[in-house]
Amino acid sequence: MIAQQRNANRTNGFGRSQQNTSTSIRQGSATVISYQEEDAQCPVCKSDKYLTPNLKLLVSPCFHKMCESCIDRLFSAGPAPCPICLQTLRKNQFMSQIFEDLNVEKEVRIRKKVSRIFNKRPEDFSSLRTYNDYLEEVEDITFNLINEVDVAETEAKMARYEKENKDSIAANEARSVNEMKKSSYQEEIEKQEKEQRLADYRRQLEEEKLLKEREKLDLIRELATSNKPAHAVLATRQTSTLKKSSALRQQRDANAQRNNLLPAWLKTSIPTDVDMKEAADLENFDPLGLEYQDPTTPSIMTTYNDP
Amino acid sequence: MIFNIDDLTVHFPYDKIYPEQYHYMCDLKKALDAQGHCVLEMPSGTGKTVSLLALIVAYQMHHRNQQRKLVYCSRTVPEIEKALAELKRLIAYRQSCGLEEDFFALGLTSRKNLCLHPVVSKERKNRVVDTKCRELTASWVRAAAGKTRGGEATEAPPEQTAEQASIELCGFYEQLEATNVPNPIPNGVYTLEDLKEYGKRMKFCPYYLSRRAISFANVVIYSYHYLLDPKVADLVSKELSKDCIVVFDEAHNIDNVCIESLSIDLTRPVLDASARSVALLAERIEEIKRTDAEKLKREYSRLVEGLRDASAARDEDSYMSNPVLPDDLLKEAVPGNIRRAEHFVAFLRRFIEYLKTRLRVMHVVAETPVSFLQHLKDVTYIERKPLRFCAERLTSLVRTLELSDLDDYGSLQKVAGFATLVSTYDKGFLLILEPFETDTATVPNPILHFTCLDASLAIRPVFERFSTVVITSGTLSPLDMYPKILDFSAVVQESYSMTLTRKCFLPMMITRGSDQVAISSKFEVRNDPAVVRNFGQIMVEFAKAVPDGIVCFFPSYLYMESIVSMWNDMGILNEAWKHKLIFVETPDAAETTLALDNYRKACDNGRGAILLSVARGKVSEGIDFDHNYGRAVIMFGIPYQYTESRILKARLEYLRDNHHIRENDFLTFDAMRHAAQCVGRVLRGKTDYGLMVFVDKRFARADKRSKLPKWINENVMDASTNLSTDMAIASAKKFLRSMAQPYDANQMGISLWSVKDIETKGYKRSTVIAK
Repeated sequence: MIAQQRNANRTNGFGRSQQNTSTSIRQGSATVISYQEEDAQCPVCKSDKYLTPNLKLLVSPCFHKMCESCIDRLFSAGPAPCPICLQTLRKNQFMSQIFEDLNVEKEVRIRKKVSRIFNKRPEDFSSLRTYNDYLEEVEDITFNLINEVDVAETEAKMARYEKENKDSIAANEARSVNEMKKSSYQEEIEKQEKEQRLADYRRQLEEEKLLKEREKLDLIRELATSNKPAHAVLATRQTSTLKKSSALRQQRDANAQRNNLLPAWLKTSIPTDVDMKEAADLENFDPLGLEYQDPTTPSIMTTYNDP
Repeated sequence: MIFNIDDLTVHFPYDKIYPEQYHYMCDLKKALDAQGHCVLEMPSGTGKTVSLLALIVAYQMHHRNQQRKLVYCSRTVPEIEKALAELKRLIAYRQSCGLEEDFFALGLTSRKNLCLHPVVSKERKNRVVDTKCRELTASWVRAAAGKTRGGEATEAPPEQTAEQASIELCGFYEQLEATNVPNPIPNGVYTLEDLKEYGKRMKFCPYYLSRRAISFANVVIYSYHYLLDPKVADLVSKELSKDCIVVFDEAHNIDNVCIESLSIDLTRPVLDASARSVALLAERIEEIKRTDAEKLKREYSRLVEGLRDASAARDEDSYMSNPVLPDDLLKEAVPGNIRRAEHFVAFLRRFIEYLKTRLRVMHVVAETPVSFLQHLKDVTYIERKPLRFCAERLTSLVRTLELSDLDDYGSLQKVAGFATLVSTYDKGFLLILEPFETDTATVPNPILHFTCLDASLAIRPVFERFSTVVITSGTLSPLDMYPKILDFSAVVQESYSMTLTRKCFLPMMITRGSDQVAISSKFEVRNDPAVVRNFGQIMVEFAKAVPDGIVCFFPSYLYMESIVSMWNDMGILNEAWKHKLIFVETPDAAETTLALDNYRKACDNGRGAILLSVARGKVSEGIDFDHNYGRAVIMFGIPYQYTESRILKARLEYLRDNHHIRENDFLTFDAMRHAAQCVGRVLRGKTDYGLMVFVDKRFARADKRSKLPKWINENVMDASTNLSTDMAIASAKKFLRSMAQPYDANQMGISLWSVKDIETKGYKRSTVIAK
């Protein structure tokens, strides 16, 4: 396998560039790295990163930070008040911080809540205008919650809305789940296709290289064994390889047509070194030119084995 | 001379014409008649620009009713100047031939190059000039100073308050605004200098004058970016009509320009700066709310009505332009959730915070815009649609808030542009996060590259909008590569050979040193002492044999440095110093300019000099080494790109999958066009002569050679494709000696044509084609 890879590299002529991008790069990013300050200090127990290097601060639902050991100490025995704002908290409500700005952290959590309820889509509206108005209304609600303006009223509004639109909320949720599935499936397929294409491409390179080598070998053998003058051998060789390569191309085209999964680029064949060289030679070849005439025809040999 | 191509009378401002110029014009005319695009490769130094201009101007004047405007794009300001000067001479010639024509042509460049304001023009940075100019000319500043738009009520009201009078305005701009004439400049051809001169005389601002005059011009000459960079193109090139003739000169690098214009790199400082700008915006909104809430309300209601009204309001003030938005999207209204200014600011804040979390990832990530958007939605509940409107919305907000010190908002603008692009294009882009600068670095310096992989994206609007796009340069081979990577179909694809009465340049490929060691800049052997010594020996030998200047090109700065230090250790540099001085190009522009100056001096006074430079550097692109400044160019190694770059790999993969271009083909194509560009520097005209030396085993291979331009390839003899150093030196000496012979300059009929020649030979050619 490694040898094969190396061969592929050599055909490419520039050595190191053949590495697959997907091997060296992790595709996509499912995880989010949580944010940790450089000189974090737990506001509760005042221990800091310098003395406890594995200090990790988590964020409570009331958006106060404290370290893991404090959380263990305070909330292991069940719900307890937050040491800063006295809101009752549970241990499992603590989350790691994702955003640098705690306000954004809070905003995102509120948005999560809001977006679960207000999940209408453009299709649900008669015109773009009404949809945009709806979007703005949702945004206003979110803002009220974030900035703690009329919280009670807004929450009541939300609850009312949820009640009224129970069915459509559920339906839209199902729809979005469905879409997610579909898109991830598509992604998967695309990925597979890409890999397939890459593999095909590699194989094709390999084949071409083998063919080239074989032809070269054949040519040398023929030159060594045949009685004809060298230029004649070359000429017949060239026509035969041209034929062969065009046949190969046709076969490849046929394959591509038969199997629609094969990507389109297989159909186009880009001339390789050999093709080009031969084409050039053919143009130069002049059967009547005297300089091509060998002074003596080689005598017939009974046996000649190429070592 | 005056001659006919088919039914078209062409005035050519010289007495003689090169055959290839004539053929070039014939093909160009074909493309114009067919209203199709074309790709034309013409040897450097054979008068490409003048033949192009002569034909197109003749064409314009012939089909006067069609009004096809010429938009001529070049790369640099000096090139623009050169083209304008050429055009001026052409028009003068046409007039001396007794043609009475109304002709108007001008060039457009940045504020910095055109500004006349006594204070502003002293600034040296482009961006500062732009900002200061806006501070003096923005519509609200002028409104505050009591001047109304449109030029009707411009006679200054006597009751102007003291406060109003204290606001400083630009006199040149005011003068221009005060004129009622739509086009306040008489017809003629204006070089940038002429434009400034005229501005000075009439007290008009040349920059705004040229912007205003574009729509009246027959010929506009400016830089690529005015058409390709969506941020600028929108502003300048929007009003060009469909049947314009667009020419990209020196277009061999056009795919890279396209890609750069759509790629964005985000770093930690950029994000921090944009977070600061968002905070500033928020503050400013609060302030405006208190003082002038009406303004925000007006903007809001306009956005409710739809973006189209906003785009109608776009004028000189909309300097923060948005990246390409599809037209159908422009007609849509801004989504409701970013309509309010404070909502939008919160939106931006959230987006920036999200980007910051992405930069914290400590391993390399490559993902498509689709998966990026999905993740963004999962984490921050930002939908695709508002993201798409981000740049547009920011522009509108900045205008409403009347911010003119845009220096602070550059980063935010970048982020907004990124938001719009990432949500507009699914295909042809990739996000690559690189947490470390190099593989061995331990201190993270994360960069989020948002790279465009498809050069055709940026240029597609150009090809779609304009009926004729001409792509031309001295090195475009292989010609079919450009239509492929830029995704268009060309009606004419032509490469011209160079007709010469004497063989005035000698391409050679050195594959072995004198000791028969194969030499190559291949990665495995590039630092092999035997190879480096042979490189050095080649340089020294040529320094002995060649008079005056020699230019050496290396594939990269790093490689050049390592080689030069090895040469120093081997004593090769000392050897070379006996014959010539050595100068080195560095990434620093000022240093390089100094080195070039001294190089020229050494060439002029007969001491002779060697310039070591890099194939993708400044020297290789814009600087000519004509006559004694370059008698030989030595290309050490094939200038492949750094193939380990992730961005390059992604692009190769994309090209393979979508344009059916093999990785190897593209890399070789790219390397060879740079090599050809480098060697092309030595020959700037037919009286010039020089050696072109390719030093690498791989240059001898057919796939490399076939990618050289036709005019070089024709002169490569089979005998000189596989030389060793000593053989090469021998033939170089022979060549130089033959060049030193007195030269009978009678090229008439062969490489120079008079009118009579055109009539006989040109006719022959057209009949041949007809057959």
